Amino acid sequence: MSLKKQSLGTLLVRSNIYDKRGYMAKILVVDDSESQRTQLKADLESGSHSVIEASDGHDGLEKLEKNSDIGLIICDVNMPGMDGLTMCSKIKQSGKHLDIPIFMLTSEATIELKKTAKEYGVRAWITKPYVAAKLLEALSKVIKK
Amino acid sequence: MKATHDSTLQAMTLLVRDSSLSRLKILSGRDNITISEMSVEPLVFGHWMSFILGSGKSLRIIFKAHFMTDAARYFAAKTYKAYKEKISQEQALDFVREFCNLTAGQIKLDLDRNNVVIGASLPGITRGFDEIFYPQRPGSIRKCWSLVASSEKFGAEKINCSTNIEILEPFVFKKTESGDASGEVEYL
Repeated sequence: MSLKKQSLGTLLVRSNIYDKRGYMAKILVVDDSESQRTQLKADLESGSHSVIEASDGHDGLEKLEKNSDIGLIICDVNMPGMDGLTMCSKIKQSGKHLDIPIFMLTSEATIELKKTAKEYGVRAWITKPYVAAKLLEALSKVIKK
Repeated sequence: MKATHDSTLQAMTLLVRDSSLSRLKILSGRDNITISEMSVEPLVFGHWMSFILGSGKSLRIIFKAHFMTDAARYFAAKTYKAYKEKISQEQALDFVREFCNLTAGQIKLDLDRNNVVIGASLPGITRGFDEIFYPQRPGSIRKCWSLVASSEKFGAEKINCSTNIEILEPFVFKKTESGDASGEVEYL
């Protein structure tokens, strides 16, 4: 059966996000595209995660400061205002929140950008458009660690 | 195989067309979308126009999506998990802007696999009528097509696409086997 045809419930069980502890994380989604944020929010909330939205890097840093319980960040690269990699560099410079895993979710896929992201502590790079099942599986791996 | 201006142009036109089709299918969650040729090329294709620019040593590409709000609502409905009628104009415009962004991303990725590097702008959006004030760059060619979705309920909905391509250094382009990297997770 293809991934698309499987129910979300099946996918969540397979990706172990619904584990025995009923674990869920507060996830900061940073993307200038409202359609992407809406789509992500719906998919992540289906997986029992809660979502905080930010429209660019400045907004993302602000929301990060205001919410001490954020468990993971999903961030776009190209955004007006402050871009995603600059936001990651600011997080690294600040020395705070270094334990929060960061996933980049972007249509960019160049090696140079990935190298820079790694230097800033980014854990994973996901090429847009994302596939909900793959994203949830990746989240479960990082959250479990 | 020797690269010529014409062969590069042909390959790039095909790349942009294919990328626009695949990205709209994925983003909208609709498989019923096909490419349709335009018999007449009007000066203004739709009330709104979203665009993105790609530029490098070998080529310059402008990709534009021309549309009416109502058609954008149709394509955006599944993304927002809402009925077409409930999609706001702002959400509809944002959807097409993201479509341009994803199309440029796919073009950039395929070019990168052929060692052709381009930078892409952020996608913009403006009134379609603004097209009148921006003439085609000399030396570039313009191609147009429609992305059409036929639906029983809404009839045919479409987004018109156009691209201006300027080849600066001809190159050989091959669509790689690795194909679509959508949703791939790479741990760094």
